[in-house]
Amino acid sequence: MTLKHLRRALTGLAFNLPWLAGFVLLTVFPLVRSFLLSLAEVKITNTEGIVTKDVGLANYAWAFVTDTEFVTALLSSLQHLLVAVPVIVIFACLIALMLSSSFPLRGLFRTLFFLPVVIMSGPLIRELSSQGASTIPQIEKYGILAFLRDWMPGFLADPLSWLFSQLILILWFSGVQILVFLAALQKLDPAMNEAASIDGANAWERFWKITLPTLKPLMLVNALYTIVQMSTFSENEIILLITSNLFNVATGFGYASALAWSQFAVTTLLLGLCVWLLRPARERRPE
Amino acid sequence: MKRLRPLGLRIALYAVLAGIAYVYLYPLLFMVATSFKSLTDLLDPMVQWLPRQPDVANFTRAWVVLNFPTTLTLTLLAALLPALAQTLVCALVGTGFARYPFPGSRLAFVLMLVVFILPPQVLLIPRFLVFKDLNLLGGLASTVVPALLAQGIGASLFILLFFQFARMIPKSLEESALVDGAGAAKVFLRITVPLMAPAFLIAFLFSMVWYWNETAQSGLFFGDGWTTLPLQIDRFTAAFEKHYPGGATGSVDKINEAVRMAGLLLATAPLLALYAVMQRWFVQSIDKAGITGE
Repeated sequence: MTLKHLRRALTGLAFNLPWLAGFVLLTVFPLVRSFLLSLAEVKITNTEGIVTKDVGLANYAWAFVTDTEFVTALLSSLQHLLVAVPVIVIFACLIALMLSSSFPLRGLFRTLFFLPVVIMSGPLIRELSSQGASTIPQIEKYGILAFLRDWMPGFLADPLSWLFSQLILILWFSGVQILVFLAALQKLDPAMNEAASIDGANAWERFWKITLPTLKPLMLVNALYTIVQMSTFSENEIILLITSNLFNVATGFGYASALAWSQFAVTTLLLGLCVWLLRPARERRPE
Repeated sequence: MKRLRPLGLRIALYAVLAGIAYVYLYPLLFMVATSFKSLTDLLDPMVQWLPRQPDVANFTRAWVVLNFPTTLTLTLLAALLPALAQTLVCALVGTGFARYPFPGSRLAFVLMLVVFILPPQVLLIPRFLVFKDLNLLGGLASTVVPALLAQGIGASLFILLFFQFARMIPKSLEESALVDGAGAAKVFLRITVPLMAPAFLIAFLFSMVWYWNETAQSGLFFGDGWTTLPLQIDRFTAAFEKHYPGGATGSVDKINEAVRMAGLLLATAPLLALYAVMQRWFVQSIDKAGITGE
Protein backbone atom coordinates (compact mmCIF):
# COMPACT_ATOMS: atom_id res chain seq x y z
CA MET A 1 0.00 0.00 0.00
CA THR A 2 2.69 2.46 0.97
CA LEU A 3 4.73 1.51 -2.06
CA LYS A 4 1.69 2.14 -4.24
CA HIS A 5 1.21 5.56 -2.64
CA LEU A 6 4.84 6.42 -3.15
CA ARG A 7 4.60 5.44 -6.80
CA ARG A 8 1.50 7.58 -7.19
CA ALA A 9 3.18 10.57 -5.58
CA LEU A 10 6.25 10.17 -7.76
CA THR A 11 4.07 9.90 -10.87
CA GLY A 12 2.26 13.06 -9.79
CA LEU A 13 5.55 14.89 -9.39
CA ALA A 14 6.61 13.70 -12.83
CA PHE A 15 3.37 14.95 -14.43
CA ASN A 16 3.65 18.28 -12.62
CA LEU A 17 7.36 18.74 -13.16
CA PRO A 18 6.99 21.26 -16.03
CA TRP A 19 4.66 23.41 -13.98
CA LEU A 20 6.74 23.16 -10.79
CA ALA A 21 9.93 24.08 -12.63
CA GLY A 22 8.21 26.89 -14.52
CA PHE A 23 6.54 28.21 -11.39
CA VAL A 24 9.85 28.49 -9.56
CA LEU A 25 11.99 29.69 -12.47
CA LEU A 26 9.58 31.92 -14.37
CA THR A 27 7.16 33.10 -11.69
CA VAL A 28 8.50 32.98 -8.11
CA PHE A 29 12.06 33.93 -8.95
CA PRO A 30 11.03 36.80 -11.27
CA LEU A 31 8.50 38.01 -8.68
CA VAL A 32 11.19 38.25 -6.01
CA ARG A 33 13.58 39.85 -8.45
CA SER A 34 11.04 42.39 -9.63
CA PHE A 35 10.27 43.32 -6.02
CA LEU A 36 13.99 43.81 -5.34
CA LEU A 37 14.29 45.85 -8.53
CA SER A 38 11.43 48.05 -7.37
CA LEU A 39 13.57 48.98 -4.35
CA ALA A 40 16.57 49.90 -6.47
CA GLU A 41 17.86 52.21 -9.10
CA VAL A 42 18.65 50.08 -12.14
CA LYS A 43 21.14 51.04 -14.81
CA ILE A 44 21.93 48.90 -17.81
CA THR A 45 25.48 49.50 -18.90
CA ASN A 46 27.41 48.02 -21.78
CA THR A 47 30.50 47.29 -19.73
CA GLU A 48 29.17 45.93 -16.45
CA GLY A 49 25.73 44.63 -17.43
CA ILE A 50 22.96 45.48 -15.00
CA VAL A 51 23.98 47.71 -12.11
CA THR A 52 21.56 48.15 -9.23
CA LYS A 53 21.79 50.60 -6.36
CA ASP A 54 19.59 50.12 -3.32
CA VAL A 55 17.34 53.13 -2.82
CA GLY A 56 14.77 51.76 -0.37
CA LEU A 57 11.25 52.96 -0.96
CA ALA A 58 12.31 55.97 -3.02
CA ASN A 59 10.71 54.62 -6.20
CA TYR A 60 7.35 54.19 -4.47
CA ALA A 61 7.62 57.60 -2.83
CA TRP A 62 8.36 59.14 -6.22
CA ALA A 63 5.42 57.34 -7.81
CA PHE A 64 2.85 58.39 -5.24
CA VAL A 65 4.17 61.81 -4.17
CA THR A 66 6.01 63.36 -7.09
CA ASP A 67 4.86 61.61 -10.28
CA THR A 68 1.49 63.18 -10.95
CA GLU A 69 1.17 61.16 -14.13
CA PHE A 70 1.09 57.86 -12.26
CA VAL A 71 -1.38 58.96 -9.59
CA THR A 72 -3.68 60.34 -12.29
CA ALA A 73 -3.45 57.15 -14.33
CA LEU A 74 -4.04 54.98 -11.26
CA LEU A 75 -7.09 56.98 -10.19
CA SER A 76 -8.61 57.06 -13.64
CA SER A 77 -8.05 53.35 -14.23
CA LEU A 78 -9.69 52.66 -10.85
CA GLN A 79 -12.63 54.89 -11.81
CA HIS A 80 -12.93 53.07 -15.11
CA LEU A 81 -12.90 49.66 -13.45
CA LEU A 82 -15.52 50.72 -10.91
CA VAL A 83 -17.79 51.75 -13.79
CA ALA A 84 -16.95 48.99 -16.24
CA VAL A 85 -17.08 45.94 -13.95
CA PRO A 86 -20.72 46.36 -12.82
CA VAL A 87 -21.74 47.39 -16.34
CA ILE A 88 -20.12 44.32 -17.88
CA VAL A 89 -21.43 41.88 -15.27
CA ILE A 90 -25.01 43.20 -15.44
CA PHE A 91 -24.95 43.46 -19.23
CA ALA A 92 -23.59 39.91 -19.59
CA CYS A 93 -26.26 38.68 -17.20
CA LEU A 94 -29.05 40.34 -19.21
CA ILE A 95 -27.75 39.03 -22.53
CA ALA A 96 -27.44 35.53 -21.08
CA LEU A 97 -31.03 35.70 -19.83
CA MET A 98 -32.22 36.78 -23.27
CA LEU A 99 -30.29 33.95 -24.93
CA SER A 100 -31.28 31.28 -22.42
CA SER A 101 -34.56 30.32 -24.05
CA SER A 102 -34.36 28.68 -27.43
CA PHE A 103 -35.53 30.62 -30.49
CA PRO A 104 -34.47 30.83 -34.13
CA LEU A 105 -31.19 32.70 -34.72
CA ARG A 106 -30.17 32.27 -31.09
CA GLY A 107 -26.93 30.60 -32.13
CA LEU A 108 -26.12 33.45 -34.47
CA PHE A 109 -26.46 36.06 -31.72
CA ARG A 110 -24.36 33.96 -29.37
CA THR A 111 -21.66 33.69 -32.02
CA LEU A 112 -21.71 37.45 -32.63
CA PHE A 113 -21.40 38.35 -28.96
CA PHE A 114 -18.39 36.07 -28.57
CA LEU A 115 -16.61 37.31 -31.70
CA PRO A 116 -14.64 40.10 -29.95
CA VAL A 117 -12.95 37.57 -27.65
CA VAL A 118 -11.32 36.03 -30.70
CA ILE A 119 -10.15 39.17 -32.48
CA MET A 120 -9.41 41.57 -29.62
CA SER A 121 -5.83 42.80 -29.50
CA GLY A 122 -4.17 45.99 -28.30
CA PRO A 123 -3.40 47.34 -31.78
CA LEU A 124 -6.93 46.58 -33.03
CA ILE A 125 -8.52 48.48 -30.15
CA ARG A 126 -6.04 51.34 -30.52
CA GLU A 127 -6.67 51.69 -34.26
CA LEU A 128 -10.45 51.55 -33.91
CA SER A 129 -10.42 54.05 -31.02
CA SER A 130 -8.26 56.46 -32.97
CA GLN A 131 -10.77 56.33 -35.85
CA GLY A 132 -13.61 57.07 -33.44
CA ALA A 133 -15.15 53.64 -34.00
CA SER A 134 -15.09 52.70 -30.31
CA THR A 135 -18.59 54.06 -29.82
CA ILE A 136 -21.67 54.41 -31.97
CA PRO A 137 -22.03 57.90 -33.51
CA GLN A 138 -25.61 58.16 -32.25
CA ILE A 139 -24.31 58.85 -28.74
CA GLU A 140 -22.41 61.92 -29.83
CA LYS A 141 -25.22 62.98 -32.16
CA TYR A 142 -27.88 63.12 -29.49
CA GLY A 143 -25.59 65.04 -27.18
CA ILE A 144 -25.49 62.52 -24.37
CA LEU A 145 -21.89 63.43 -23.56
CA ALA A 146 -22.55 67.17 -23.51
CA PHE A 147 -25.58 66.57 -21.30
CA LEU A 148 -23.50 64.58 -18.83
CA ARG A 149 -20.80 67.21 -18.67
CA ASP A 150 -23.31 69.98 -18.07
CA TRP A 151 -25.50 68.31 -15.50
CA MET A 152 -23.32 66.01 -13.47
CA PRO A 153 -20.62 66.69 -10.91
CA GLY A 154 -17.16 65.96 -12.27
CA PHE A 155 -16.50 62.79 -10.33
CA LEU A 156 -19.59 61.20 -11.90
CA ALA A 157 -19.49 62.85 -15.31
CA ASP A 158 -15.92 61.79 -16.10
CA PRO A 159 -16.37 58.04 -15.67
CA LEU A 160 -19.83 58.11 -17.25
CA SER A 161 -18.71 59.99 -20.32
CA TRP A 162 -15.78 57.57 -20.57
CA LEU A 163 -18.33 54.76 -20.43
CA PHE A 164 -20.33 56.21 -23.32
CA SER A 165 -17.32 57.18 -25.39
CA GLN A 166 -15.89 53.66 -25.10
CA LEU A 167 -19.21 51.83 -24.97
CA ILE A 168 -18.50 49.26 -27.66
CA LEU A 169 -15.05 48.37 -26.42
CA ILE A 170 -16.38 47.88 -22.90
CA LEU A 171 -19.11 45.60 -24.21
CA TRP A 172 -16.44 43.76 -26.19
CA PHE A 173 -14.95 42.66 -22.88
CA SER A 174 -18.07 40.71 -21.95
CA GLY A 175 -17.92 37.74 -24.36
CA VAL A 176 -16.61 35.16 -21.92
CA GLN A 177 -18.86 36.40 -19.11
CA ILE A 178 -22.01 36.00 -21.23
CA LEU A 179 -21.13 32.39 -21.92
CA VAL A 180 -20.38 31.69 -18.26
CA PHE A 181 -23.84 32.93 -17.24
CA LEU A 182 -25.42 31.09 -20.15
CA ALA A 183 -23.79 27.80 -19.15
CA ALA A 184 -25.22 28.20 -15.64
CA LEU A 185 -28.70 29.05 -16.91
CA GLN A 186 -28.76 26.00 -19.12
CA LYS A 187 -27.95 23.74 -16.20
CA LEU A 188 -30.81 25.21 -14.19
CA ASP A 189 -33.37 22.44 -13.65
CA PRO A 190 -36.67 23.45 -15.35
CA ALA A 191 -38.52 21.26 -12.84
CA MET A 192 -37.60 23.78 -10.15
CA ASN A 193 -39.30 26.61 -12.03
CA GLU A 194 -42.32 24.43 -12.73
CA ALA A 195 -42.68 23.44 -9.12
CA ALA A 196 -42.45 27.06 -8.04
CA SER A 197 -45.04 28.18 -10.54
CA ILE A 198 -47.43 25.41 -9.43
CA ASP A 199 -46.97 26.75 -5.90
CA GLY A 200 -48.12 30.12 -7.24
CA ALA A 201 -44.85 32.00 -7.79
CA ASN A 202 -45.04 34.42 -10.71
CA ALA A 203 -42.23 35.04 -13.21
CA TRP A 204 -40.86 37.97 -11.20
CA GLU A 205 -40.67 35.95 -8.00
CA ARG A 206 -39.16 32.97 -9.80
CA PHE A 207 -36.46 35.26 -11.22
CA TRP A 208 -35.47 36.63 -7.82
CA LYS A 209 -35.73 33.38 -5.89
CA ILE A 210 -34.46 30.82 -8.40
CA THR A 211 -32.59 32.33 -11.34
CA LEU A 212 -30.63 35.04 -9.55
CA PRO A 213 -29.36 32.83 -6.70
CA THR A 214 -28.09 30.41 -9.38
CA LEU A 215 -26.19 33.20 -11.09
CA LYS A 216 -24.79 34.85 -7.97
CA PRO A 217 -21.67 32.71 -7.48
CA LEU A 218 -20.88 33.24 -11.15
CA MET A 219 -21.23 36.98 -10.75
CA LEU A 220 -18.19 36.77 -8.49
CA VAL A 221 -16.31 34.64 -11.03
CA ASN A 222 -17.20 37.09 -13.79
CA ALA A 223 -16.36 40.19 -11.76
CA LEU A 224 -12.94 38.76 -10.93
CA TYR A 225 -12.37 37.74 -14.54
CA THR A 226 -13.35 41.21 -15.75
CA ILE A 227 -10.99 42.95 -13.33
CA VAL A 228 -8.07 40.70 -14.25
CA GLN A 229 -8.79 41.00 -17.96
CA MET A 230 -9.10 44.78 -17.94
CA SER A 231 -6.15 45.47 -15.67
CA THR A 232 -3.83 43.25 -17.69
CA PHE A 233 -4.99 44.46 -21.11
CA SER A 234 -2.15 46.12 -22.97
CA GLU A 235 -4.15 49.33 -23.51
CA ASN A 236 -4.66 49.89 -19.77
CA GLU A 237 -3.30 53.34 -18.92
CA ILE A 238 -1.02 52.08 -16.16
CA ILE A 239 0.43 49.36 -18.35
CA LEU A 240 1.17 51.96 -21.01
CA LEU A 241 2.92 54.03 -18.33
CA ILE A 242 4.93 51.03 -17.12
CA THR A 243 6.05 50.22 -20.65
CA SER A 244 7.01 53.81 -21.36
CA ASN A 245 9.05 53.97 -18.14
CA LEU A 246 10.80 50.70 -18.90
CA PHE A 247 13.15 52.22 -21.42
CA ASN A 248 13.09 55.73 -20.08
CA VAL A 249 16.71 56.56 -19.24
CA ALA A 250 15.76 58.78 -16.30
CA THR A 251 13.54 56.20 -14.54
CA GLY A 252 14.16 52.72 -15.93
CA PHE A 253 13.48 49.17 -14.77
CA GLY A 254 13.51 49.93 -11.05
CA TYR A 255 10.83 52.58 -11.30
CA ALA A 256 8.76 50.55 -13.79
CA SER A 257 8.85 47.60 -11.36
CA ALA A 258 7.65 49.85 -8.54
CA LEU A 259 4.73 50.98 -10.72
CA ALA A 260 3.87 47.38 -11.63
CA TRP A 261 3.87 46.36 -7.95
CA SER A 262 1.75 49.36 -6.97
CA GLN A 263 -0.81 48.46 -9.62
CA PHE A 264 -0.75 44.84 -8.49
CA ALA A 265 -1.43 45.90 -4.90
CA VAL A 266 -4.36 48.08 -5.95
CA THR A 267 -5.80 45.36 -8.21
CA THR A 268 -5.52 42.79 -5.43
CA LEU A 269 -7.38 45.13 -3.07
CA LEU A 270 -10.09 45.53 -5.69
CA LEU A 271 -10.34 41.76 -6.16
CA GLY A 272 -10.62 41.38 -2.39
CA LEU A 273 -13.36 44.00 -2.29
CA CYS A 274 -15.26 42.08 -4.98
CA VAL A 275 -14.95 38.79 -3.10
CA TRP A 276 -16.24 40.50 0.04
CA LEU A 277 -19.16 42.19 -1.74
CA LEU A 278 -20.27 39.07 -3.60
CA ARG A 279 -19.37 36.55 -0.89
CA PRO A 280 -21.75 33.65 -0.54
CA ALA A 281 -24.36 34.21 2.16
CA ARG A 282 -23.66 32.21 5.27
CA GLU A 283 -25.85 29.16 5.72
CA ARG A 284 -28.53 29.93 8.24
CA ARG A 285 -28.41 27.39 11.01
CA PRO A 286 -31.62 26.42 12.77
CA GLU A 287 -31.66 27.87 16.27
CA MET B 1 -38.57 27.23 -20.81
CA LYS B 2 -40.33 25.45 -23.60
CA ARG B 3 -43.39 27.65 -23.52
CA LEU B 4 -43.78 29.90 -26.54
CA ARG B 5 -43.62 33.52 -25.62
CA PRO B 6 -46.31 35.90 -26.85
CA LEU B 7 -45.59 37.40 -30.26
CA GLY B 8 -45.08 40.93 -28.96
CA LEU B 9 -42.46 39.79 -26.49
CA ARG B 10 -40.68 37.81 -29.18
CA ILE B 11 -40.51 40.82 -31.50
CA ALA B 12 -39.19 42.96 -28.66
CA LEU B 13 -36.54 40.35 -27.89
CA TYR B 14 -35.36 40.29 -31.50
CA ALA B 15 -35.33 44.09 -31.67
CA VAL B 16 -33.20 44.39 -28.54
CA LEU B 17 -30.79 41.66 -29.63
CA ALA B 18 -30.48 43.13 -33.13
CA GLY B 19 -29.77 46.55 -31.63
CA ILE B 20 -27.03 45.16 -29.41
CA ALA B 21 -25.63 43.14 -32.31
CA TYR B 22 -25.39 46.38 -34.32
CA VAL B 23 -23.46 48.03 -31.49
CA TYR B 24 -21.15 45.03 -31.29
CA LEU B 25 -20.47 44.94 -34.98
CA TYR B 26 -20.27 48.69 -35.54
CA PRO B 27 -16.45 48.90 -35.33
CA LEU B 28 -16.08 46.01 -37.75
CA LEU B 29 -18.64 47.40 -40.20
CA PHE B 30 -16.86 50.74 -39.96
CA MET B 31 -13.55 49.02 -40.67
CA VAL B 32 -14.87 47.20 -43.73
CA ALA B 33 -16.73 50.23 -45.13
CA THR B 34 -13.80 52.60 -44.64
CA SER B 35 -11.25 50.22 -46.10
CA PHE B 36 -12.96 50.34 -49.51
CA LYS B 37 -13.24 54.13 -49.66
CA SER B 38 -11.28 56.16 -52.19
CA LEU B 39 -9.85 59.53 -51.21
CA THR B 40 -12.88 61.41 -52.57
CA ASP B 41 -15.25 59.13 -50.69
CA LEU B 42 -13.30 59.70 -47.48
CA LEU B 43 -13.60 63.46 -47.82
CA ASP B 44 -17.26 63.37 -48.79
CA PRO B 45 -19.46 63.43 -45.67
CA MET B 46 -22.39 62.09 -47.73
CA VAL B 47 -20.64 58.74 -48.16
CA GLN B 48 -21.05 56.90 -44.91
CA TRP B 49 -21.39 53.17 -45.45
CA LEU B 50 -21.29 52.35 -49.14
CA PRO B 51 -18.32 53.74 -51.09
CA ARG B 52 -19.31 55.07 -54.53
CA GLN B 53 -16.60 53.09 -56.25
CA PRO B 54 -15.08 50.40 -54.11
CA ASP B 55 -11.35 51.12 -54.12
CA VAL B 56 -9.17 48.03 -53.94
CA ALA B 57 -6.00 50.11 -54.14
CA ASN B 58 -6.09 50.47 -50.35
CA PHE B 59 -5.68 46.75 -49.99
CA THR B 60 -2.82 46.43 -52.47
CA ARG B 61 -0.99 49.21 -50.59
CA ALA B 62 -1.70 47.72 -47.16
CA TRP B 63 -0.59 44.31 -48.50
CA VAL B 64 2.78 45.78 -49.46
CA VAL B 65 3.14 47.82 -46.27
CA LEU B 66 2.37 44.85 -44.02
CA ASN B 67 4.56 42.61 -46.19
CA PHE B 68 1.57 40.34 -45.85
CA PRO B 69 2.68 36.84 -46.95
CA THR B 70 5.89 36.92 -44.89
CA THR B 71 4.32 38.52 -41.85
CA LEU B 72 1.40 36.08 -41.96
CA THR B 73 3.81 33.14 -41.94
CA LEU B 74 5.73 34.65 -39.02
CA THR B 75 2.48 35.29 -37.14
CA LEU B 76 1.25 31.74 -37.73
CA LEU B 77 4.50 30.34 -36.35
CA ALA B 78 4.43 32.75 -33.39
CA ALA B 79 0.88 31.61 -32.57
CA LEU B 80 1.01 27.90 -33.43
CA LEU B 81 4.25 26.84 -31.76
CA PRO B 82 3.62 28.25 -28.27
CA ALA B 83 -0.03 27.16 -28.49
CA LEU B 84 1.02 23.60 -29.29
CA ALA B 85 3.61 23.53 -26.50
CA GLN B 86 1.18 25.06 -24.02
CA THR B 87 -1.66 22.64 -24.86
CA LEU B 88 0.47 19.51 -24.48
CA VAL B 89 2.12 20.62 -21.24
CA CYS B 90 -1.12 21.83 -19.66
CA ALA B 91 -2.77 18.48 -20.47
CA LEU B 92 0.02 16.71 -18.63
CA VAL B 93 -0.10 19.03 -15.61
CA GLY B 94 -3.91 19.06 -15.42
CA THR B 95 -4.02 15.25 -15.46
CA GLY B 96 -1.33 15.14 -12.79
CA PHE B 97 -3.32 17.41 -10.50
CA ALA B 98 -6.51 15.43 -11.07
CA ARG B 99 -5.17 11.89 -10.85
CA TYR B 100 -1.83 11.63 -9.10
CA PRO B 101 -1.85 13.65 -5.87
CA PHE B 102 1.54 14.13 -4.22
CA PRO B 103 2.36 15.75 -0.89
CA GLY B 104 1.67 19.45 -1.34
CA SER B 105 -0.27 19.06 -4.57
CA ARG B 106 -3.29 20.86 -3.11
CA LEU B 107 -1.15 23.85 -2.21
CA ALA B 108 0.43 23.73 -5.66
CA PHE B 109 -3.02 23.72 -7.24
CA VAL B 110 -4.06 26.83 -5.31
CA LEU B 111 -0.80 28.57 -6.23
CA MET B 112 -1.41 27.61 -9.85
CA LEU B 113 -4.78 29.39 -9.74
CA VAL B 114 -3.28 32.42 -7.99
CA VAL B 115 -0.85 32.83 -10.90
CA PHE B 116 -3.88 33.75 -13.01
CA ILE B 117 -4.37 37.05 -11.17
CA LEU B 118 -0.68 37.97 -11.26
CA PRO B 119 -0.35 40.87 -13.65
CA PRO B 120 2.01 39.87 -16.47
CA GLN B 121 3.71 43.25 -16.29
CA VAL B 122 5.13 42.43 -12.84
CA LEU B 123 6.85 39.41 -14.38
CA LEU B 124 7.67 41.11 -17.66
CA ILE B 125 10.81 42.95 -16.53
CA PRO B 126 12.58 40.15 -14.64
CA ARG B 127 11.69 37.60 -17.34
CA PHE B 128 13.12 40.00 -19.90
CA LEU B 129 16.37 40.16 -17.90
CA VAL B 130 16.52 36.35 -17.51
CA PHE B 131 15.91 35.77 -21.22
CA LYS B 132 18.50 38.40 -22.03
CA ASP B 133 21.07 36.51 -19.95
CA LEU B 134 20.09 33.23 -21.61
CA ASN B 135 20.15 34.79 -25.07
CA LEU B 136 16.56 33.81 -25.75
CA LEU B 137 15.36 37.27 -26.82
CA GLY B 138 14.59 38.20 -30.40
CA GLY B 139 12.90 34.94 -31.37
CA LEU B 140 10.20 32.42 -30.68
CA ALA B 141 12.18 30.83 -27.83
CA SER B 142 11.05 33.73 -25.61
CA THR B 143 7.42 32.64 -25.92
CA VAL B 144 7.85 28.87 -26.43
CA VAL B 145 9.98 28.32 -23.31
CA PRO B 146 7.40 29.76 -20.87
CA ALA B 147 4.70 27.76 -22.69
CA LEU B 148 6.73 24.55 -22.27
CA LEU B 149 7.00 25.27 -18.54
CA ALA B 150 3.22 25.86 -18.23
CA GLN B 151 3.70 29.60 -17.63
CA GLY B 152 2.35 30.84 -20.95
CA ILE B 153 -0.66 33.06 -21.65
CA GLY B 154 -3.68 31.81 -19.73
CA ALA B 155 -1.89 28.60 -18.71
CA SER B 156 -3.75 28.45 -15.37
CA LEU B 157 -7.10 28.39 -17.18
CA PHE B 158 -6.01 25.58 -19.47
CA ILE B 159 -4.60 23.48 -16.62
CA LEU B 160 -7.96 23.95 -14.90
CA LEU B 161 -9.74 22.86 -18.10
CA PHE B 162 -7.71 19.65 -18.39
CA PHE B 163 -8.09 19.07 -14.64
CA GLN B 164 -11.89 19.15 -15.01
CA PHE B 165 -11.79 16.81 -18.01
CA ALA B 166 -9.42 14.35 -16.36
CA ARG B 167 -11.60 14.24 -13.25
CA MET B 168 -14.64 13.29 -15.31
CA ILE B 169 -12.96 10.16 -16.72
CA PRO B 170 -14.12 7.13 -14.73
CA LYS B 171 -11.33 6.04 -12.40
CA SER B 172 -12.06 2.37 -13.05
CA LEU B 173 -10.92 2.75 -16.66
CA GLU B 174 -7.45 3.85 -15.64
CA GLU B 175 -7.20 1.48 -12.70
CA SER B 176 -8.02 -1.59 -14.74
CA ALA B 177 -5.33 -0.58 -17.21
CA LEU B 178 -2.86 -0.13 -14.33
CA VAL B 179 -3.76 -3.57 -12.99
CA ASP B 180 -3.16 -5.00 -16.45
CA GLY B 181 0.38 -3.71 -16.14
CA ALA B 182 0.29 -0.48 -18.14
CA GLY B 183 2.48 2.33 -16.78
CA ALA B 184 1.16 5.80 -15.99
CA ALA B 185 2.59 7.13 -19.25
CA LYS B 186 0.81 4.48 -21.28
CA VAL B 187 -2.48 5.08 -19.44
CA PHE B 188 -2.13 8.80 -20.16
CA LEU B 189 -1.41 8.33 -23.85
CA ARG B 190 -3.86 5.51 -24.53
CA ILE B 191 -6.80 6.39 -22.28
CA THR B 192 -6.66 9.93 -20.92
CA VAL B 193 -5.54 11.78 -24.04
CA PRO B 194 -8.17 10.31 -26.41
CA LEU B 195 -10.93 11.02 -23.88
CA MET B 196 -9.77 14.62 -23.48
CA ALA B 197 -9.81 15.36 -27.22
CA PRO B 198 -12.33 18.23 -26.94
CA ALA B 199 -10.21 19.86 -24.22
CA PHE B 200 -7.17 19.67 -26.49
CA LEU B 201 -9.01 21.43 -29.29
CA ILE B 202 -10.42 24.13 -27.01
CA ALA B 203 -7.09 24.80 -25.28
CA PHE B 204 -5.26 24.88 -28.59
CA LEU B 205 -7.73 27.26 -30.25
CA PHE B 206 -7.78 29.72 -27.36
CA SER B 207 -4.01 29.56 -26.88
CA MET B 208 -3.50 30.23 -30.56
CA VAL B 209 -5.83 33.20 -30.63
CA TRP B 210 -4.34 34.68 -27.46
CA TYR B 211 -0.77 34.24 -28.67
CA TRP B 212 -1.79 35.76 -31.99
CA ASN B 213 -3.28 38.85 -30.36
CA GLU B 214 -0.72 39.36 -27.60
CA THR B 215 1.58 42.34 -28.22
CA ALA B 216 2.76 43.80 -24.91
CA GLN B 217 5.08 40.92 -24.11
CA SER B 218 6.00 39.81 -27.61
CA GLY B 219 6.73 43.38 -28.68
CA LEU B 220 9.32 43.58 -25.92
CA PHE B 221 10.73 40.05 -26.23
CA PHE B 222 10.85 39.80 -30.03
CA GLY B 223 12.51 43.18 -30.55
CA ASP B 224 13.50 43.40 -34.20
CA GLY B 225 14.09 39.67 -34.47
CA TRP B 226 10.53 38.58 -35.18
CA THR B 227 7.21 40.21 -35.93
CA THR B 228 3.50 39.51 -36.11
CA LEU B 229 0.57 41.13 -37.89
CA PRO B 230 -0.68 42.98 -34.77
CA LEU B 231 2.85 44.27 -34.13
CA GLN B 232 3.07 45.45 -37.74
CA ILE B 233 -0.23 47.32 -37.30
CA ASP B 234 1.50 49.28 -34.55
CA ARG B 235 4.33 50.15 -36.94
CA PHE B 236 2.00 50.76 -39.90
CA THR B 237 2.60 54.50 -40.28
CA ALA B 238 6.37 54.15 -40.23
CA ALA B 239 6.29 51.23 -42.65
CA PHE B 240 3.93 53.09 -44.98
CA GLU B 241 6.22 56.08 -45.16
CA LYS B 242 9.12 53.82 -45.98
CA HIS B 243 7.28 52.19 -48.88
CA TYR B 244 5.55 55.31 -50.21
CA PRO B 245 7.83 58.21 -49.33
CA GLY B 246 7.19 61.85 -50.01
CA GLY B 247 3.47 61.93 -50.73
CA ALA B 248 2.24 65.49 -50.36
CA THR B 249 -0.80 66.11 -48.17
CA GLY B 250 -3.95 65.09 -50.00
CA SER B 251 -2.14 63.07 -52.63
CA VAL B 252 -2.98 59.40 -53.12
CA ASP B 253 0.36 58.30 -51.69
CA LYS B 254 -0.35 59.90 -48.33
CA ILE B 255 -1.44 57.58 -45.55
CA ASN B 256 -5.13 57.88 -44.73
CA GLU B 257 -7.83 56.12 -42.73
CA ALA B 258 -8.84 53.95 -45.65
CA VAL B 259 -5.37 52.40 -45.99
CA ARG B 260 -5.09 51.97 -42.24
CA MET B 261 -8.44 50.22 -42.05
CA ALA B 262 -7.53 48.03 -45.04
CA GLY B 263 -4.37 47.00 -43.17
CA LEU B 264 -6.34 46.32 -40.02
CA LEU B 265 -8.85 44.24 -41.97
CA LEU B 266 -6.06 42.22 -43.60
CA ALA B 267 -4.46 41.62 -40.20
CA THR B 268 -7.76 40.56 -38.63
CA ALA B 269 -9.10 38.50 -41.55
CA PRO B 270 -7.26 35.25 -40.66
CA LEU B 271 -8.82 35.27 -37.18
CA LEU B 272 -12.26 36.05 -38.60
CA ALA B 273 -11.86 33.11 -40.99
CA LEU B 274 -10.76 30.82 -38.15
CA TYR B 275 -13.74 31.89 -36.07
CA ALA B 276 -16.13 31.37 -38.97
CA VAL B 277 -14.98 27.76 -39.31
CA MET B 278 -14.47 26.87 -35.65
CA GLN B 279 -17.05 29.05 -33.89
CA ARG B 280 -18.90 26.05 -32.46
CA TRP B 281 -15.80 25.06 -30.51
CA PHE B 282 -15.15 28.55 -29.23
CA VAL B 283 -18.72 29.07 -28.09
CA GLN B 284 -19.11 25.67 -26.44
CA SER B 285 -15.79 25.90 -24.64
CA ILE B 286 -17.09 27.42 -21.44
CA ASP B 287 -19.95 24.96 -21.23
CA LYS B 288 -17.41 22.16 -21.39
CA ALA B 289 -14.92 23.74 -19.01
CA GLY B 290 -17.12 23.03 -16.01
CA ILE B 291 -16.66 26.40 -14.26
CA THR B 292 -20.34 26.33 -13.46
CA GLY B 293 -20.05 23.12 -11.48
CA GLU B 294 -21.41 19.73 -12.41
